[in-house]
Amino acid sequence: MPPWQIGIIGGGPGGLLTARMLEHQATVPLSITIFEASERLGGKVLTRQFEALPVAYEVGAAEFYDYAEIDEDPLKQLVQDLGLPIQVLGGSSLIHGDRLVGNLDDVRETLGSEAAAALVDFHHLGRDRLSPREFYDALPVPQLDGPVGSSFETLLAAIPSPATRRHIERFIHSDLATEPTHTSRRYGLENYLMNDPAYMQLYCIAGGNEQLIAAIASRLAARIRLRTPVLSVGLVADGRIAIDVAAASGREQHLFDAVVLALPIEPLRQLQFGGERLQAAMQQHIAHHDHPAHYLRVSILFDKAFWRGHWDDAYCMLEGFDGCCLYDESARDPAEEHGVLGWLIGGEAAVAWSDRDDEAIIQAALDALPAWLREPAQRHRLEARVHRWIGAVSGLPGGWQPLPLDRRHQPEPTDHSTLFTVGDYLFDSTLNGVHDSAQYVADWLASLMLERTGLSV
Amino acid sequence: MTADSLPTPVPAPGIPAGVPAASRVDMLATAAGPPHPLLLAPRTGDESPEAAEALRRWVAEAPAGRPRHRIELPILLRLYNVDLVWSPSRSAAFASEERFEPLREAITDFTNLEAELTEIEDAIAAAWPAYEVDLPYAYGFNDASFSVRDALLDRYSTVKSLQGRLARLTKQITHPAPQPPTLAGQIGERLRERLRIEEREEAADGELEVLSDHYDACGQRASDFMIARRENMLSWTIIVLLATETLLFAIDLLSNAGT
Repeated sequence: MPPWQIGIIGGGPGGLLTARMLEHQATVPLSITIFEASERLGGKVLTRQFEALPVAYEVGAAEFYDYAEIDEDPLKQLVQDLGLPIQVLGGSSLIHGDRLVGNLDDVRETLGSEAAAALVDFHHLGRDRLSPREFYDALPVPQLDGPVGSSFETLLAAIPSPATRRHIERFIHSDLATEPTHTSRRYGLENYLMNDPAYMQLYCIAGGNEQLIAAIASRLAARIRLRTPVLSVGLVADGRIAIDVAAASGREQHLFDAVVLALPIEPLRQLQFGGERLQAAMQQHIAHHDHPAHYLRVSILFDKAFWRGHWDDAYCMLEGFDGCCLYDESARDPAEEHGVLGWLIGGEAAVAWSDRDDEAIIQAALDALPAWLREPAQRHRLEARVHRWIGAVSGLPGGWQPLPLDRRHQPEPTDHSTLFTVGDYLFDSTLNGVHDSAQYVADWLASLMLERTGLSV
Repeated sequence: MTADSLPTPVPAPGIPAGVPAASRVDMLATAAGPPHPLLLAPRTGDESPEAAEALRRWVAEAPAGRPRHRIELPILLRLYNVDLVWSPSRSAAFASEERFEPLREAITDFTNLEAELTEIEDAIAAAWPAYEVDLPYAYGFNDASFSVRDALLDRYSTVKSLQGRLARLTKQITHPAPQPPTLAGQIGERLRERLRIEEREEAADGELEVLSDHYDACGQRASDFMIARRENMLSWTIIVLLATETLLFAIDLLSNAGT
């Protein structure tokens, strides 16, 4: 029996996870080829080192979500199976002015009793509308979702205390990477509730999240072609799917029995699709999921973690940039002696600052620190880096009205039933979402291969 | 109750030099044992390192009891505008006055929890020598063992009572902290983590299970022995009765033969 030819476009976590799952699940011979346009695998999972010292920091995906308290967590299981060390990340504070506001008592003291009461009410409302189980299962919750197009803004508008509203907005701004008017009530609330340990906990891989990519890639039998951008995708006469790529030697065409598009929306938009039906379906798919959200990552290396003793969490929120997450990047590796702070600037603030030069952004990031961190930060600073992720994620994963899972993963089911999509934008803009998406497509493809080779029971 | 029978009040320790004059010492009630002094120093915003050191020394000068699994005492905790020093016998904190009440609440709850767990651990440690001696009774029980029956019953009751106390404690240990987080909840959570309360509770639970299984088996053997002994006695009673009856019948037969 000739092997099934599978083409995967995109060497990010979605493409690699799909390949791994297919290799594990398929019961028929397989030949997988992964096409990656850049010179590296991993996409938004990117760990870098400073030039001055070999100290690691996260440029892309900052953390993984741990759902093990609620139910199975296949991504965490994978990380553990691959023998990668896990580091739990904790934090619950927002720096208000120069003051660390870390609990309800602090909110009461800083913002007043009314604001604290409004925060408790909002929290209870959130928990009532979306339970941890509903959060985990991503089940539709009509009383939360509201009419199509109801933005998170409509939920925030009901908070009676303006101070509380600002507090919540600042608290989740980096995670949303967009503004409350541009995302749904559910996605906004999810990003708020994820700070409650009943819903999830955060963790990272000690020494760098990119180790996950290396660990998966090293175990794949698939052929990986780096620096090979895909130009077009289309059906050919025998029912197979042709992929045209720009190789070093010129344009090449490869034929596959099934193709997985594991790309974010922007690169997906750059692809050419053959045939009117596929073009129309892909346009519709892109339009439905086109809700770009933005990040800027500022990472600064210090000769020591001078903040320890004053602030010991793995992250906190700053008021600057309409709410910005400040990571103690050095907390990700217990053996690290130097200090690294990472600013995750999201949403419109990220877009506004992205055109400025690096030094201006770095200075703005330092200025966003409270006074007790700002002065020593200038003194201990060794090196700073800026990375721009404009339009790199979705601010409304799944779209305003989430489609059935089959439709999300198979944009054109009539003539192109072996063309699939995988991505974080289909679920929740997280690595866990990519994993779920890859699992869905791998399961589907594995059963399709069984069916078509006549081996189904 | 007469004045003579009232418990002697424990005097509050004095406020150490170097901490703000407006500080106060609250004597927190504990479930068993003497009250727990908590020194509350109002935060002024410009506390010197010497003042923090004075708090630490004040806490450290009270004997902390037996070592807690190689955990260095006192515990120093710096948490969102509160500096806390805790030991099993004394605590002290720098905090704004609005935080005094949640601090009292958190320290009272945690100190009682930790004291109860320590007491259970000590009782378990004390039970092991007797366990070693009692090992043979889990296998067999005989007349020579009869004298230890009451002692075994006592140990069985002690172990079951410790299991009950630990079960009640588990509820407090695994109870999730309130959300949104409160200062009292966060302090309780951090102290439980630093004093490894969850691991200690699991270890105590495992040890009590071993002891409980053992004394259950001893109880079973003792019970089997008692039943067998009772059955034995009953059998002999029946034999004696039958023998008596036979004897009387024989006497009756002989007397009738004579006449």
